[in-house]
Amino acid sequence: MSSISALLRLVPQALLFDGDAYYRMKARPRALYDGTLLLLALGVGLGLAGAAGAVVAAGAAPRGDELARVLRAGLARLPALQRLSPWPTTWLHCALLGWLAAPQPGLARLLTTPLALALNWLAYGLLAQRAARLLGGCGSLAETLACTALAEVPRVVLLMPLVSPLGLAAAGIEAWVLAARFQALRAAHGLDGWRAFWAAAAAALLLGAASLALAALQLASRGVG
Amino acid sequence: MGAMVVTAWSALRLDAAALRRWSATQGALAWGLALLALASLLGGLAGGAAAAGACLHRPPPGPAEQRAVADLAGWLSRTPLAPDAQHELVRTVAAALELRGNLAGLPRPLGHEAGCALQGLQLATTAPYRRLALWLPYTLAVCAAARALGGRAGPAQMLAATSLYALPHLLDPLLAVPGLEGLARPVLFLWGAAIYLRAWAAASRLGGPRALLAVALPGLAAVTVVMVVMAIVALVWGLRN
Repeated sequence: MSSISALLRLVPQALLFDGDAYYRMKARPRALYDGTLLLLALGVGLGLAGAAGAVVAAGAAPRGDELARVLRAGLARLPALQRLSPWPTTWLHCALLGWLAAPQPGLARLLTTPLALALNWLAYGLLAQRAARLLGGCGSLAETLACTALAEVPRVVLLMPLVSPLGLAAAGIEAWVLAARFQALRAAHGLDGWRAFWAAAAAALLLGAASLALAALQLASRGVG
Repeated sequence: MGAMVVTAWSALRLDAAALRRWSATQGALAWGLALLALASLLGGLAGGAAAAGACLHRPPPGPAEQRAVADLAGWLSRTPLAPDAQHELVRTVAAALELRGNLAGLPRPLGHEAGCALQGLQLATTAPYRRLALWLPYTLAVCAAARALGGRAGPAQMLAATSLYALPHLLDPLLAVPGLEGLARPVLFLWGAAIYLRAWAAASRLGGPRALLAVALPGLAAVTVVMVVMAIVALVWGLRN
């Protein structure tokens, strides 16, 4: 019990950019187990908040299929869009209208949110481990994963159920997580400031590029469909 | 709490020594984040209420949209834009306004009143995230620039100091008062920006020109990236047409 309360005490420290929190995390006897537990708890909480937010958003906005119908008719009448070449507009059209007509059901977020968080953490951890090792780091994969799990805690500020999809406003949370990951890699690998910065940035860029490529592939398949 | 009030008063008067002391205080960042959340929520609640009111009492589409399109056509006729391009722009704006009206008129599952109220509430609750999305990435980028220029202050200290820029924004609900927005918005923005710069210079302990350079660098980099992307898009657009 005291172990869990000690783990929970690291959360506000990590939120407030206290770099010592990651050294304490690394020094815990079962650091990877504790990190995974923390991440799963965070994922479940975010899933619940996301599901509640989706239910509220569904009540506030017109139905998705109605929105899609009006948008389809309205966009077809926009002269500026008619002049664009067909391929980007068709893809965007299909992606937007498909998403509006069939949004992710609120309850599905209970499962998809923790899963997405865990996959993102694992993918980032593996990339960051490689980048940090290339830059002279000496931490193990377990230490990297434990510390980067703690670096996900800034997402707790998303535990507000009424929040609608944030879009660009999520940039603040992502920047917060990235800064926390920088501190996590510094502690896990004993890197100096600039090496930890480049390791954190390189892993984030690689993961971002891979996510963009996946999104483009999905868009392309919808456009073809 | 008392110390926070004294610091707030000093920050509003741009007192550099008080700002430096504040940034080194234990727990300053937690207070700063709470201040940011409070200022954003106050402004967000006022903005959300105004948006919900506008959604509830939106007049049926028609005369206002026609007047806006006529105004745009009149303004465009005084520009050197080719008549064909002017005509197309006016038709596009008219179609977009019509689409906006059609979307606003769609029925909502919980009814129009509840839907508009929830929409206003969502706008209010996302306000802190919108403020965070501007302040946090920019300040972290400024911290990185300052490190490159020889600064030694940590991110927690810099974030704590610059979070006080939100103090004048506690008055953001004034923006919802009809007739006050035009004056209040630039005054609050400039007051906040002055606190940000003063707090940054005080806490970073970089010399004047280097502190200013560190604050300006991320903005300049962002503008450069946007301009390069726009130039590439324009080039591709020109080649395709």
